[in-house]
Amino acid sequence: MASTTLIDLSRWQFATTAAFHMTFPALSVGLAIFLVICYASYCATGKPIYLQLFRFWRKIFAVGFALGIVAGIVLTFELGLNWGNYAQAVGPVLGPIICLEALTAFFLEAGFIGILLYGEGRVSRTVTMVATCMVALGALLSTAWILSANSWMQTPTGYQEVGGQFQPTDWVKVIFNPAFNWRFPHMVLAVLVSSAWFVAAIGAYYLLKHRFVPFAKKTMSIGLLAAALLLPIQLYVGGSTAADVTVAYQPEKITAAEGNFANGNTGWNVAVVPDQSQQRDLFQLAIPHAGSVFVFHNFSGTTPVPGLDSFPTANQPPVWPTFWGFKIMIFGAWSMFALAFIAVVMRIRRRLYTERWFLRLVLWAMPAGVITTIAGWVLSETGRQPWLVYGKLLASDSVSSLSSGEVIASMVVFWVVYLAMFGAWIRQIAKEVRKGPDALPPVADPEPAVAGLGPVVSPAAPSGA
Amino acid sequence: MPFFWMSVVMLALLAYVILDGYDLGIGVLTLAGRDPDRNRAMLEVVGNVWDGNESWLILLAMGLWAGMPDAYATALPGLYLPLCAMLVALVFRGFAVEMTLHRPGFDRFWGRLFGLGSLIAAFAQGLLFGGLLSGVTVVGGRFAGGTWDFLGHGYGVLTGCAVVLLYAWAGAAQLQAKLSGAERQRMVSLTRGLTLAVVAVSLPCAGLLPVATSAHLRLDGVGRWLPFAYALVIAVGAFAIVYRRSGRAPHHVPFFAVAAAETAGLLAVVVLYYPQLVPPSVTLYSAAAGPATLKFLIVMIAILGPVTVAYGIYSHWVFRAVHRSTPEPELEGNH
Repeated sequence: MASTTLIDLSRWQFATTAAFHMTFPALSVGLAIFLVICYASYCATGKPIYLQLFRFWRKIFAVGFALGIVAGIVLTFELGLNWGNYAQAVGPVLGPIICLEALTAFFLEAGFIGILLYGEGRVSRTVTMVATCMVALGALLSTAWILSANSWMQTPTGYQEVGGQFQPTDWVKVIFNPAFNWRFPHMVLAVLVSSAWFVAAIGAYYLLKHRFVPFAKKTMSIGLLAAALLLPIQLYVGGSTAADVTVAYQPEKITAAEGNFANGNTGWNVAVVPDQSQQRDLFQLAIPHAGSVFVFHNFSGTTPVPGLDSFPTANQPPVWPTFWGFKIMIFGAWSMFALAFIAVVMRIRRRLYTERWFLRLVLWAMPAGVITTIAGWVLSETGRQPWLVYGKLLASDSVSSLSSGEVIASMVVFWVVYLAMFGAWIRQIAKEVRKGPDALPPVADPEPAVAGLGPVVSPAAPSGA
Repeated sequence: MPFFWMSVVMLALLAYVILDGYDLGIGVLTLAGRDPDRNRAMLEVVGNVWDGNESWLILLAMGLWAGMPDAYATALPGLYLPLCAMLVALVFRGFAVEMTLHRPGFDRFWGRLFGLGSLIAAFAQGLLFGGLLSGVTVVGGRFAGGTWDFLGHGYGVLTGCAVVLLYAWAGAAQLQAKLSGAERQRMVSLTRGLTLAVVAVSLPCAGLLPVATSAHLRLDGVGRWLPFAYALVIAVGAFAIVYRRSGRAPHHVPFFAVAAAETAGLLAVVVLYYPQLVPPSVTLYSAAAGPATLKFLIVMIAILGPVTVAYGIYSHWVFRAVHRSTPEPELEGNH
């Protein structure tokens, strides 16, 4: 039995490196699809503004995409480095899924990203379009495989246990396990919404500064439209994920997420300060009767929300991160929905690009999607503890027999390097944003077929960069 | 089936060493270069291939995890520190490539970080290789050794230096094909010098291996000594070709010869060690996953492998040209 220090250190290392990694796919999957929209619009209409959008967002996409790749490599190795016994136990089931991710997604992305980023002028427009689509497809496939593997750890199916190792018996059941079928659309919507706010916020920033106005309007318009269309669907899918996956399969997780230790509370906790060692909440702020309504759809408001004291302490997930991960996700989703609703009203009243208070709100919403997505992952991963494979494999049985010193050393180095890179990434984006999009080409198109469109010069002042 | 899947994993390893080897090597070479223009040209050769080349590393790791989970679960904790060093180096190196590409010229900070990351990653991979070859202590199917075992009484340091030189050699050979004029001439003399250096460092690596390792090295039976002899012949021939054909058209020949030498080296090691996978105690057959997993993997690779290789080749073909500055012909830039 490994020491609790080693287990906690290994957990922290995985959690922090995974959260860092998650930041980049949360944006780049959606941005890849945004690039497809921009370039497809350009190919269809020949309007140079779409080419300008495509080139600007391609630059923002490129650096984050690279960071996502390299930070993802770290995670694949950590499974064996820190969690050797887990890797040994689940390898036959989850290994092939990640192999498929490498074969179908990583090679696809890597094969076409070069053409997407540097291919203009060397390949035809059709090839650029195909390459852009392939990068986006790779990003979506990667999301699918990762969600499948992670969901199997939440709701394992289609396997048998042989000598402490999981052996697959039915690949369809392994891949399309119950949690996957809701969590995959939930995650795809989450990354799309994340990048929609990111894109819209940069448009709002330019509108506030009165720079690159046509570019900014187009950018913000597409971003807000995507957010308004996707958020209602996301609220529905998110609710179904909670009901059909968490409530149905992982009672400890939903109980910890609701933040009650004792049975009998019919209210819905808005905020709690848990003290898990004493098995009680030091502070609890609840909306009366709302718990019954939200959790059980009981509109009389009389069904009490179950408390954690019905589970042995050894099987309880940590309440702090599970509860607050859940609440930040919910509050984030509601706020984004409200803002998207305001945006629709503004658009109808034709004030979308002019109301400064609204533009400021959109600017501040820039990281909202990413924060909400990471909070959701905190809920799903810490809420599954103490299990790695729910109900089957404990984290404490999974850890490699390393010395704590090794793990501390690697974790400190990862943190220092990651923090520095995160800072540099933000500075790089700020620099690109301040510089703004390159001026529109005087002749719209390199290919003679559409070259007759005539000069369209950017009305924006030179940025001075 | 375990043998077949192991061949796939070994091919991924070979592809990784050949492909990422040259782009890490180019990074190492930029450390020695003082001319920003030349370093920029070298960086741009790396710019659009490095992420594809590193995909092979993921396939290698995940292929090993899926097909031989016991090997993955024991080798990785056994080689913890050099693996973490390699990962950290690959992370900031990949980021530094993009940051340098997004800046004019060869940015002093990010450019040097790119070189340094390449050097650390290459050296760490040498440590890993040496550490694995010298043996990992496994008891009851789990890693049970110490933190510094990977050093193998210093053998790891020797293989670390060997891999740095090997990659730099591959990088110089690749640059012969990608650069032109006086820059190509510099790479020709560099390739020749590095050929001798690689030979010089390979000999002690090979000579000390029987002393450094806890594994049973075997050359009995025609199934072992014949491929081993082939490997030696190919390696000697490849060294000669790199040395003699450098600087002559067609300029991609030296790099192919480097790849042949790397293939021969890997073949020789596999022949000596087979069937030990994490020497001395974890073998290919003891580590293999069940037939349901292996069958699935083999069917998948048979379908997806050819497609993957096809568009990988297409992507290299698009950028096959000798280096020129990035064209964005339609841009009327205010940058």
